[in-house]
Amino acid sequence: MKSFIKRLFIFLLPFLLFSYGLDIFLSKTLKKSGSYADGEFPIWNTLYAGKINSDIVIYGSSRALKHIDPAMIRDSLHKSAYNLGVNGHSFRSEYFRHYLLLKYNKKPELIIQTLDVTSFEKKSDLYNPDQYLPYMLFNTDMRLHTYNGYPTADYYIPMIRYYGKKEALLEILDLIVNPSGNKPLRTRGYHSNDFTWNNDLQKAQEELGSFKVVSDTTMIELFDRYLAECARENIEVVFVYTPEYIEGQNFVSNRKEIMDLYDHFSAKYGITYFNYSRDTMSYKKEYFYNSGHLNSRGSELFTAKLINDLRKAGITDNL
Amino acid sequence: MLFNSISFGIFLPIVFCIYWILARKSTELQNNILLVASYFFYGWWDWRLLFLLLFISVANYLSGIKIEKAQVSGRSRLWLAIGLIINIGTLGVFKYFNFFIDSFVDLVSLTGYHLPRSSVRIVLPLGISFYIFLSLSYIIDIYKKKIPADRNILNVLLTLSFFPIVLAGPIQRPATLLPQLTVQRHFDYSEVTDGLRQILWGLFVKIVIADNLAFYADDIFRNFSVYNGSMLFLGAVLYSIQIYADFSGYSDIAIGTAKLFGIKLMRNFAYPYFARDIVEFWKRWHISLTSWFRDYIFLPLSFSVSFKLKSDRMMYIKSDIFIYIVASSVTWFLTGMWHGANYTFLVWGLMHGLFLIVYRLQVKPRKKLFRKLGISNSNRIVILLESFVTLTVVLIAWVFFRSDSLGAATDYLGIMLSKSLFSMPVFTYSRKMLLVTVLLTMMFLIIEWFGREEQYAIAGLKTKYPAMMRWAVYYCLILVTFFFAGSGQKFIYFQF
Repeated sequence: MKSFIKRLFIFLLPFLLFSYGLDIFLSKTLKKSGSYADGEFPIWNTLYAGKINSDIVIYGSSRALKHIDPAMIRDSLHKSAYNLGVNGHSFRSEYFRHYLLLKYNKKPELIIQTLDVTSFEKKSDLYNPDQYLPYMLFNTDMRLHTYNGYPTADYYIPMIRYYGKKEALLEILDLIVNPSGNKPLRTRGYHSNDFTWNNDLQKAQEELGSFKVVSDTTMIELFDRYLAECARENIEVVFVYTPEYIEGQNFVSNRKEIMDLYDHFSAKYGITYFNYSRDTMSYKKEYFYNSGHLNSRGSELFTAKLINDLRKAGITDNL
Repeated sequence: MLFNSISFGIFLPIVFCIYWILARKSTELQNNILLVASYFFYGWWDWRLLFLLLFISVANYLSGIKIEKAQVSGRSRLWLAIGLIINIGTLGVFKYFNFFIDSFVDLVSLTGYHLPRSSVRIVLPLGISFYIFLSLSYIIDIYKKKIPADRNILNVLLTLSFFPIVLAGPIQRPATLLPQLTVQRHFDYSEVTDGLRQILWGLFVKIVIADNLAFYADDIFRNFSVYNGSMLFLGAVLYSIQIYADFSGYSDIAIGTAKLFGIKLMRNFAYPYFARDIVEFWKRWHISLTSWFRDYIFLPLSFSVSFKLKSDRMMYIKSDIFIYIVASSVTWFLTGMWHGANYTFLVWGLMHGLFLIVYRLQVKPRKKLFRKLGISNSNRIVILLESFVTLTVVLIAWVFFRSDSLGAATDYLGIMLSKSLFSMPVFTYSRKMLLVTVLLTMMFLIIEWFGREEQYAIAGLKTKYPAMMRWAVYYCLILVTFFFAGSGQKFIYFQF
């Protein structure tokens, strides 16, 4: 029995000794990927490296990252800009990026806070969890700001979060074997899709009829605190409800209730609110590929419109 | 708890340490620890099911004693009948109640009356088919005087609930399991390391091969109407490997786990897809169940029919063939039913019964034909051809086994065997992942081929290769299992 335990220990020793080193190596390599996990790594890398340092930052979900082109903002307003939109997530994750931005980067002058009907939606799972993989080890910030995704042990025991992550391993091998094939999916966080209209809305309407968004009250409270924090820090915030295809707007049964909440916050903090949900763009299917997302043509047009409106409202005068 | 879960990964080392450190000098203590661990393991799923397991165990313990005592007075048959009714009745209620009610409602609806379907659904207790069959062996073997009735109730409770086998077998014979529980187990280094090796192999086969193939096979079977024939053929092939990897992987973990406690279990798989013919296939597939049906149904039924036959022909059929047809049909009907309360399993069982009968019918004519043509039975082309035919019929039968209904199975086969079988498969999956899964599956089949003489594919490592090489293989297997684990699927045979 003693000899068995001794030999078993010797057998398992390499796992104990090298797991930390292997974790560091895998994470360091994976971070280099420009397209894995929906192209989120370059954004996290830039955030953690303190290299965002932009005058204007854009917050929101996929409707932020696919609708507002920071390069166009820079070229038109001569102000550096970065899109921190996070696909498939609600405000809790947006706030995590805001927290990291203030912790490691220069404070922005203006935050373009895009809004959705699902901004405060209670999420039951962690969307695109692989985007956190290379940053998780001993990262208490990340543990506190992510939800229903990884067990606590994954944040403190090397390697175990890579269990079954075969796609990640293949990506790492690809990065080692063919580093030149690694191309970033996004430009300063922005990524548009050159798609034409699909049947997502029709399918959703057929399956669900209508849909009620269940908002998380703690997230609404967090939003309130965040706006107060921005006011304290002298960071200007504007609300932008980006175009949403008109037929899709009826799909959410409690839409008005959510929109009223945004009006309330806008009034409470004196925040300028650009609501494009009744804009002419929202009536033209050719600018969308589904009810919530503009295609490349739509997003280019919309960014130009937003820049123009920011100028008109004098928002950019004081930057 | 599943064998491939973290909870089992914690449970097993704790039980192992308590067993060998605290109880290595006492048989009784060893058994008590295993009994507590087994009831904890089984109760982890749903503690209420422990009562059923306990009831079955106590009923069989008492039946066993009664059968043995009544052998003097000649009333043992009565007690056997009571024991059989308890076991088969329990299995019938829990496994087939819903099926019979639904079938009755469907039957009545043919006459135009539509009876309401019962809202009462009976939940199938995990492992019931396995521990009931073990219980049946126990009382039948006592009745046949193969084993004495065990007077120690704890031994019987442990035999019927032993945690490595309680959920999905291998279905042991009390004649081999009970004697192992009555003697003290001593720590045997080579036996324990062999157990760990077998567990490692089982985990690799289940987690990497079966669970990754399940992703593709499930998708193809779920959406078969949108795929072409070649994709459905691929789906059937993938499922054939998946179910083998799933159940043989499970069996290896179960057998390996028992070895850690000094208990040897019956083998359950012997590389069935390398079988030459359907008879050989069934000698290699789910051996513990097949041999159970052979010993307790097929052989007694064959003897019983043969005693009743008065002439050497029955309905123009030679008596030995007639006996084989009757016994095979009944046995395979029951084998199909054992797998589940669904017509798909029934058809699957009867198909295999038919394949075996057809095989039996062609044995003599083929011998004559081969002799006439001067072809040796060990001719490689003949073996290859025969293996191909065997795999094909097994594959077709798996389509029935996997499908949700008979209609779905026939539709699946209809598309699969249409012209589109020869068109190119259309993949909607990540090609990279599919390629990796195919490569890993090929690696698995190659290792199985080279290890086919062993009890499990990598068992030969301990004798054929130096320690450095062995350890390298173990590390590789651990890393591949770690990174390429599929999405944690339940074991297929848990539903039976």
